[in-house]
Amino acid sequence: MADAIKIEGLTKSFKNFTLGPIDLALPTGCVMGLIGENGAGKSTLISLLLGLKRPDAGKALVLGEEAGNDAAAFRQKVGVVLDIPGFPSAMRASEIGKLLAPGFPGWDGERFRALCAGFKLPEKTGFGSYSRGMKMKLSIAAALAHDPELLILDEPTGGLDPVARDEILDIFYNFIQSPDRSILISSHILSDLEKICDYIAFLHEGRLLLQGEKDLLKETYGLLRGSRAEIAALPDEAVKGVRRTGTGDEALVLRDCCPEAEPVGLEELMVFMLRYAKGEN
Amino acid sequence: MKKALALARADWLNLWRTSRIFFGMILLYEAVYIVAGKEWMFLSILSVALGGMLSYSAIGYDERSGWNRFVLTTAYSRKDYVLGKYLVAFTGTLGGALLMAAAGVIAAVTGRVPFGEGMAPLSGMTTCGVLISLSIVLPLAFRFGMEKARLLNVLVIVLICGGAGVVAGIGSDLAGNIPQVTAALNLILPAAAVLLLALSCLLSVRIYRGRQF
Repeated sequence: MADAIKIEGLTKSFKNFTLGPIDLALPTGCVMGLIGENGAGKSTLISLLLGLKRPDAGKALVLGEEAGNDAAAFRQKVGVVLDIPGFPSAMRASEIGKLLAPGFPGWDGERFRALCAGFKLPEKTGFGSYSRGMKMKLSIAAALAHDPELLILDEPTGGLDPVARDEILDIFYNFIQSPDRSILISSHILSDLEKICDYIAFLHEGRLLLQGEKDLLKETYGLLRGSRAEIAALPDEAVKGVRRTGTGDEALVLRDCCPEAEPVGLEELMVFMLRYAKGEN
Repeated sequence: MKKALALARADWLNLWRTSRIFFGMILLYEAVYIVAGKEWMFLSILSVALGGMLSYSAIGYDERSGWNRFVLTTAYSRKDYVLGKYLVAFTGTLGGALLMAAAGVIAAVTGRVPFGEGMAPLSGMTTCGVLISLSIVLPLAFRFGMEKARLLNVLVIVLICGGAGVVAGIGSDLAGNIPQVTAALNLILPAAAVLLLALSCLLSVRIYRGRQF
């Protein structure tokens, strides 16, 4: 199976921050969640994939072509939602549709209108007056209306209420039903990622701390609760992080070593990994 | 070019909705000139500058809304985006000049000013000055962003006005002796302004291709 995204040794340096080197692959037909705390480098990585930034080293292939390719035929295949949804502020949804249509050969105006109507976006209001949730929904409608093969989504559910988030996750879930479609999605709302992702890539301070199949990660790591003495007695190599609580300790452990450990959620995995990585346990 | 036109159209729509006060000012200036006559010609001239500077507003709005970044993820290229802004700048200047010319004609027809007196050369000179100013400021805007470019714009206007004064002085001295110089300047200046705008556009495309967001 070809990779929808393939990243090799991708590096980008700024004055106070370096991303990479990153090696990552998103197989076609899959959904990858990009997680990490604020400033971990998620948006920078997405900017590199979209050609908004240029790497200092390494390369990124998106649908087999170099990232940043601005040929219309290539852009047609990639739907994008950015963390800051930016359309001309005074334009209405229908006008934004007309603005985007000439660029995309496969623009489906009917689908765009149907999505906007489904999202209950006001017809007479300019984009600048939309709430953040509405802006995100319009961005998603625009990203889906040209029938892309790959969606690159930076915090697409940020600012949305749970019902709207669920609705949007359903749309992504339907999108991914076709085996030649893929999604790269970054989000802080890990419960959303848990619902739809096949793969997880965990960025921390510009580096990939962890990546792999979500189910495998959840099988690999587990959460064990016990007294301080019980947790302290665990083999060092099995323990990836420890949280002290008033009633005892909680440890993120390798389930191979501790089969009795409970399955761990992405949120707990991230918190424990960060604490472990920061040496704050 | 089709895509650049689509972007320019969107800019004009956006400007119409967000900057009506600019359009209102331009019409007010022309109205004052038509009613008050020759002494108020400078107000009419301002409409050309305001028309051209609407492109700065278009870039500024895009930077604020994030459209300048997002547009590069759609099927529009960096070149389309830059060309679109130059189209706005050129059509804005031309529109301002046409309004100024129309106001001149109305003022003359209604007997407020003597027909054609001083208006045509001044209109031409102003339009050229605005195009030259745009040619310098737009690449700076694409390189440093509109906020910084606006600060530099003041310096550019001072330099152009000073330069125009020097050229006018030399020109009038020469023209007194060689009448063909005036005719030549009337042709050379607009051609030079348009050429400079075209070169500026090429430079801006190059600059914008290297810009990172």
